Amino acid sequence: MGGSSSLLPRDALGEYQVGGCRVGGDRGIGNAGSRVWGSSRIVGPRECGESRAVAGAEPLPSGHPGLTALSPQELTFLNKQEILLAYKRFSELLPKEQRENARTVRVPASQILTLPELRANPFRHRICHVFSTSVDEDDSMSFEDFLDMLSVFSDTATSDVKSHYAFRIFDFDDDGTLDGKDLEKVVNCLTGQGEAQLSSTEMEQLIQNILEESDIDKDGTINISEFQHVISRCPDFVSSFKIVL
Amino acid sequence: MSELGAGAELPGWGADSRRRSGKDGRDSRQADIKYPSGWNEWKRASSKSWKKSLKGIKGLSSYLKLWRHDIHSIEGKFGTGIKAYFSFLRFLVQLNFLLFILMFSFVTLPTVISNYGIFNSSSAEIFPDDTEPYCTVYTPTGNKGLVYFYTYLKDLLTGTGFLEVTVLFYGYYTVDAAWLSVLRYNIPLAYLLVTFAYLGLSLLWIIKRSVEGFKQNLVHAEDQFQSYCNKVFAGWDFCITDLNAARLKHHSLLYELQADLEEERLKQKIADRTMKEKLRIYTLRIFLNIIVIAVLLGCFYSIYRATVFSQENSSDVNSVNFQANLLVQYLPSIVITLVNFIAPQIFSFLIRFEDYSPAYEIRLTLMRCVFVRLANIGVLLFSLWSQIHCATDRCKACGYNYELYPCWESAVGQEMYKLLIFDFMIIIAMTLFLDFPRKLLVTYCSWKPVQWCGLQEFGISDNVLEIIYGQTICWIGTFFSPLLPAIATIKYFVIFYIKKVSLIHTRKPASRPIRASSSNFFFLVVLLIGLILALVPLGVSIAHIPSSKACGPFRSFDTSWAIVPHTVLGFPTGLRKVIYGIASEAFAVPFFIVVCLIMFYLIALAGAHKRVVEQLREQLVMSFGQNVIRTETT
Repeated sequence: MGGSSSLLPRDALGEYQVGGCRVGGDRGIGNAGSRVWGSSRIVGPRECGESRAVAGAEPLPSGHPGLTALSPQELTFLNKQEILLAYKRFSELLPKEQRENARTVRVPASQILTLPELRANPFRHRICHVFSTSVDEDDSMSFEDFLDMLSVFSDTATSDVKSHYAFRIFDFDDDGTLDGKDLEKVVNCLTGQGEAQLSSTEMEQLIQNILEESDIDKDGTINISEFQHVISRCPDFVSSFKIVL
Repeated sequence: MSELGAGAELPGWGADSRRRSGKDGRDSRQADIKYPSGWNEWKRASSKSWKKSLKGIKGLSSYLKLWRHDIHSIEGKFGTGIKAYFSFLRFLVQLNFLLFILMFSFVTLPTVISNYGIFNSSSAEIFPDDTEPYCTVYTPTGNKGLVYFYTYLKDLLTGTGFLEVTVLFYGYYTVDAAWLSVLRYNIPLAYLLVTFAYLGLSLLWIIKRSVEGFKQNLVHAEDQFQSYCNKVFAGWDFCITDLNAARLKHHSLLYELQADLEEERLKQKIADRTMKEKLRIYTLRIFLNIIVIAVLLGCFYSIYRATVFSQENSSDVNSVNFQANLLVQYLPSIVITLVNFIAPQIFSFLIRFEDYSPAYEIRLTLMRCVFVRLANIGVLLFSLWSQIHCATDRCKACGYNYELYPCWESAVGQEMYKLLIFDFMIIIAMTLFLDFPRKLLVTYCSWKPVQWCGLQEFGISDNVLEIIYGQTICWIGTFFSPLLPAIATIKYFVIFYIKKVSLIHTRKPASRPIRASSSNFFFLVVLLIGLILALVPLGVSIAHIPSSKACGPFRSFDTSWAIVPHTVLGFPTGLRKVIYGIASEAFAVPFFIVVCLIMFYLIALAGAHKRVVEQLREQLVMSFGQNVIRTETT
């Protein structure tokens, strides 16, 4: 415990207590064109509104009581140990000389994808893409983005948050709806790139069935509310949409 | 350290988050400024600190949880379905440990202490007048003099010899009451009450656990209307980190989707079936079901014969022929294990011809396997009781076959003890002598047929059935052998590690994994069936079969249950009247009616809720429709 806390100073943890509630409305502004959902990023739990209010007040001196009263648990869905572990894992991705300032450096997508937790995941490129806030569209991740990701995939994140991000991950062309092409890509990701694949008639029938089940307004695509409605009746979703670090 | 931290960068962060907080953040801030109230401030602060400390305690207690890390890593590697099995195993360890504590502290400890004469105690020596003296003769065949060392081993495995009159078995508990100065601790009563308590406690705990899953099943009933969505949108288990497991998952998902599409086509085909085809299939099914029943009856009969043979021959064979005697002693266990192994194979072979849909096929095979496993124990007990009960005149005097079983409860306890030990040995042996060589063979031998066979699958349902079978034995046996939960605790503890090793190293994950949401519930339902099955033999032996007159706590009573009326008679008149009142028809009939009324009310309520849900769903569809119209018109 002592070892890991020395990696991320305790005071710095205090900052995530504020910064951790990264509901950033304007965060996606750099690449707003492609980020349909960027304007409503919800990562932290319920009390976010409150803490944002505190954080957004006058620039705070470091010893402000309002800061010390907050804990990291209230701002992301992670607890202290998890944040420290995340920090440790994140800095291990960096070359040695950059580890000192791990909180400001971005890790390229190719490095992130080497994480064992993502290695086996067929949606790893999408995950990287969705959580990256890089201006250059190179899907690189900062520590904040990394925490965002872990927070969404944590045990305690609510089903709403999870389904919201799941929608964005499945939305391959970033157009805000899941259409036939997106669904086909999702199914192909699920069944893998092996020799066995669904035949085109099977695929067609499958997509037809999925749309029949979930497309309530019958416009041929699934929008976010339809998706969340489907997910809310899906008992396995919350337990499987989870990454354990 | 602090230099690195807050001081330097905090304002930056503050500004950052302020920028991020956006519009709604500003609104809530304004609301806060408008109504600054000390009380609200305090309330918020205190609730926050309360939540914080609660979280701290939760975090700490999670460290104390058994196998937290192991289960976590298993979940990370193999997904939630397999994790469900391991947390189920952990639940059984906890349950058995609790049962052990209960039995030990209220029955074993007082008896042992009073046997060592620390308290004044009295043995139950008062016999009912009509008891024949020969019923009370009980001379356990303890080892006298010099014996071969392997006799001890045999005794350890079969629970006879030096183990027979120890705290392990019913026969030891002959103390009637322990006196703690003036307080009288009634051990027979405690024995019976603890038996009820452990059954009740198990029931409550299982129900408490399954309510969670039941609620989920009820609310999110996996309706057929969105099975494809479930499979596609919640199909991938994001926990999986093992590349091999991921490949398997890809395969299983592909297989599942194909199977579902196929099933849809099959349904279409079934709907188009002609009368003649229907007739053919139904006759075939009836025929195959008759075969299944015949197989079952054959299994039951062989268990019956084995038990009778073993009971008749085990007592008169001396320790001269060690192996033969051990084999005879273990014959029922061996036959049961064989049946448990062979019958499922036959069922899964037969089901192919019955032409059911794939999903139904799996469920039906599973139900048949559950039935075989649990019915086997029932048959074993039935055959034991057919031995214990006898119709000759001399038997009538004692009410049981006293010649063969001077202390029949201990004999049943020994049988359960043997079953538990044998089950344990089989599980260890399967991993050590079957899976492990197979793994070596597959890894180091490139011969085609070996590679084609591959590794054994880690089938969850088989494994769950295995441990539920063990748990049912434990529940039945605890009355006859009070320390059985302790053995079961150790057993499950070891099994956890064995299964973990077997999962990670010697077996491959099943190609058709079971879903976490349905499996949690399914495990508990089967466990509940096991518990209810355990209640029947226990109820019969407590209330119906005369208790041994030569050993045990109930030797001065006709049956074990007789202690309850006896105790009630000793109560003050008022209390006695109340108890009689509760037990009378005058109370029971109205009570039954009230319970029925409550049930009907709840059923009606559930129906109403269902309708509300449907209405809401319709409303949702309607509002979507209106949205579309609105966007189209604008």
